[in-house]
Parts: sequence; structure tokens; C-alpha cells
Amino acid sequence: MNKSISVFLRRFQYEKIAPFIALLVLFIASSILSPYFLQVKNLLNILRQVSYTGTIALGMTFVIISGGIDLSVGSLAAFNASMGILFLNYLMNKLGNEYLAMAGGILTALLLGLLSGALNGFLITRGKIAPFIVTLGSMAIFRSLALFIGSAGEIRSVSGHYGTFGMESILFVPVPVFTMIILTVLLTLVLNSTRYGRYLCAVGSNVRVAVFSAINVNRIKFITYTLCGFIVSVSAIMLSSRFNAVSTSNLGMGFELDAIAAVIIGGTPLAGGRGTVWGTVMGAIILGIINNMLNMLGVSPYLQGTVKGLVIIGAVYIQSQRG
Amino acid sequence: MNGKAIEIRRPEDAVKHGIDYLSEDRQGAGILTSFSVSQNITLISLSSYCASFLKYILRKKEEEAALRHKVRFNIKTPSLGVRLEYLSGGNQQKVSLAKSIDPAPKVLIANEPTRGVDVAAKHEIYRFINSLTESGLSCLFISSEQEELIGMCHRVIVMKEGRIMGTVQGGEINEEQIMFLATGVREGAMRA
Repeated sequence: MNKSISVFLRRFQYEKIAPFIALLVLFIASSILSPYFLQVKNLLNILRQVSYTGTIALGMTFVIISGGIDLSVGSLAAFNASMGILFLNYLMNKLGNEYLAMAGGILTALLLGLLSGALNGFLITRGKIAPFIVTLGSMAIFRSLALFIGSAGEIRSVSGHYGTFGMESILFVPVPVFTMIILTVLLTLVLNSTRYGRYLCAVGSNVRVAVFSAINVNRIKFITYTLCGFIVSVSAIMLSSRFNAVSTSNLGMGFELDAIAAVIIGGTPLAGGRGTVWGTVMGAIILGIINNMLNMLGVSPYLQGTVKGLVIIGAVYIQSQRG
Repeated sequence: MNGKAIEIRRPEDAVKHGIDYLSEDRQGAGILTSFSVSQNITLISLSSYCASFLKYILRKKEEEAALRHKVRFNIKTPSLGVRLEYLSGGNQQKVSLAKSIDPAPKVLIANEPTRGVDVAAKHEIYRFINSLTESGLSCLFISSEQEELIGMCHRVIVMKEGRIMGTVQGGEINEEQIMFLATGVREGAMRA
């Protein structure tokens, strides 16, 4: 009996603390390797850079805990932000009131986020199609729609303010970072302390047990993809505000990879069933620091993908070894 | 149910009508090995431990209920927070039973409730089911061990290859009757 307790404690803590230790080691190594690393400006810059994909990774965490995957996040970001800006521009022409137009544009993007996520969820639950296939399809569809409405170029907003609010700071923290922190706190509460969060883990652990436990599995999955779509839109709004425009061919490219990587590095197993939200934030920051260091050490940006790929494979390898 | 016809299409409907199921496939359909003891016990009835429209889980209420079941079913675990994968088969089965009766059902369908369980735990499980039926629960006891059926049941329905072969009641429940219904052959006839 005593042996089983110690096994339980060791596993439990190792799993939760691992991403934190990795981050700490990386942090110390980086501050030794580069004198600029520890500057507040650099650190804030890293946080800002990771906040966009980091926010998306929060939604991805829930999807992966449910035992699924969402490859469409990057395309959804491009499409939803494009539509938001188009509607903003339309309202500006019609009403002339900039703030009203901004609100309209943002609400449109958020609403489309819910709808596009719900579409993924609907096809996965009602259509009984594998999440990988559904979101692979919607990844192609939404990217193509974004390219079509923007003629593969940029969609610029006519509002001056839209391009500044995402660059502001709240209590010295950049707005997108602030948003990510708030979402992290909220989603942690949802995951650990609500019925939905508990059901989500049950569905991801063992669907049959969940069904026999009177859980409406389809409903849980549907909510999860819808939530992910919404969170993607929040990130897309921040990104498009940063440039006051959407580059329909560039925005969100490769985001699915970054988001999935952050989730896995953060300790959530790809098989689902459990995971932590703050682990994902750690994972996103780890990826950000690695990129930052590669830049500072003068490594070609083309090689950064190689490093990222190796880190993902390594993280999954370590997970599979632990069992 | 209570003289009324009810329609059951999903497990949710059954639970709503007060019918719970204890699966014979413990790890495949009964419990979640990666969940803690209390998380397993309250999984079916989780809604009754939640507050407001946010469905926020009331930890204290949940722990209290889990502790009640731990004492009642004599579940041996270092703490209620231990994941089920670290418990023995017998204790896992007790958690599974606690999980099935936590919503306070009127009918429990127990499918092979003592499969893969050591002898001591087996007897405990018989005792629990007996005490539950004394407090008003009806139990549909599915088993392939006839000693179990003879000891536990008021009425035995023997099935073979999906068809009902016959029913024995009260004092008629004995090995010979059950074997006759199951095989169609009387023991005496075999010898002759």
C-alpha cells in the first residue's frame, strides 16, 4: 500500500512539474548565452510573440483533452479576422462612427469563431467523421475562402483605432498577453471546477465509460470545438489589430503546429483524458524562448522549423516512455 | 416502471428513470482508471454536486459523499484523491458499485458484479447488495455462477443463447432446477 502511494505521488508531481522545470532550465541557459535575453523589453517581446498562438493553444488544449485535434485553427483565424475587418469597413462607410464599427467588426469575428467551431463540432459529432479529417477539410476550406475574399492579398481596416488597441498595455502588460492570462485563469477554472471540465476529461479518458456514466458525449465534444473556434477568433482579432490588416495568405500559417506543440510540451498527452491549461502556457513560452534564442544566436530562420519539429517529437517520445 | 411504460434510448434516459447499470467490463465501461476515487463515485450524479447555471462543482459536498461511500463499502484506499489505477480489483469494483448507486436508483442492473474480485471482496459485495435491497432497491443480478444466484436471488430466470428457458422462484431455487433449465437434462436422467 505504501509503495502505491509513493508511485502515485511521484508520477503525479513529475507530470505536472516537468514543463516548469524545462522552462526554468531554458531560461537560465538563455540568460547565460545572451546578455540581451534578460532585458525587460526582450522578455515582454517574447510574451507578446507567443501570446497569439499561445491563446489558440488554450482552445487546442481542450480539444486534445477530449481526445480530438483541430488542424483548422490557422485558417479559421485568417477567415474570421478577414470577415471582421470587412464588416468593420462596411460599418465605417455606412455609419461613420469608428467605435461602433470596431465593435461590429469584433463581434462579427467572435460570432464567426463560434459558428466555424460549431461547424467542426457538428461534422465530428453528427457526421461521425474523425476530427483529423473534418478539421483538415475545414483548414483547406477556410483558407481558400479567406484568399478568395481578399484576392490572396491584404485586407486593410479603414479604422485608425483598430490598429492601436492591440498594441496598448494594461498595467505594463501588452493587451494580447493580458488576454491570454485572463483566458488561462478562466479556462483553468472551467477545466478543474465545473461539470463540463470533469465530463471533458471523462470523454477523453474513455468514451465508453463516459457513455455508460450518462454523459452526453456529443454535446461535450460540440461545445469543445465551438469554444476552440471562439478562442481562435479572440487571437485573430489581436493579430489583425497588430497590423491593422489581415494578410489572407500569411495570417495563421502554421498556427496549428505551434498550438499543438505548445499543448504537448505543456504535458497534455495527445491521447487526451487529462491536461493542464497553465502547462500549455509554459509550452508556448518554451517555444517562444527557443525561437528568440535561435534569432539571437544568428541561426537561420529557415532552420527554426527543424528545431520546433525536434522538440515536438522529443516531447511526445518522453510522454510515451512514461506510459 | 411503477406500472408505466418508459422509453430508454440512451444511458441518460435510464438514469433519469432511476435505473443504473453496473457493467461486467469494469475497466472498459465501468470506471475511469485515470480518475480519482471521488471523481469516479460522483461521475454519474455529478449534476447534483454542482451549483448555479455555471455548474460549478462543490468540492466539499463531493468529498463528503465520497467519504460516505468509502466507509459504507469499506473501500481500502490511502486517500480519496488516489487514481483508481493504483487500487486492487476488489476495491475498484467497490468504487464501481458506489458509482452506480450514488444517484440513488430504484433499480440496479448488476452484471457479473464479482468478476475478477478476490473472495473477501466478493462476500462484501454480496452483503452490500443485500443491504441495498433491504432498503428498497430492486436488483437485477446477472451472473454465470449458480452458487451466487442461489444465494442472492428471490427469482431466477435462466437464459440460454439469448432465449429465456424458464423461471424458478423462492424455495424452488436450487442447483438441480437451474441446471435442468440451462441444459434441458435432469441430473438423474443422465445417470440412467
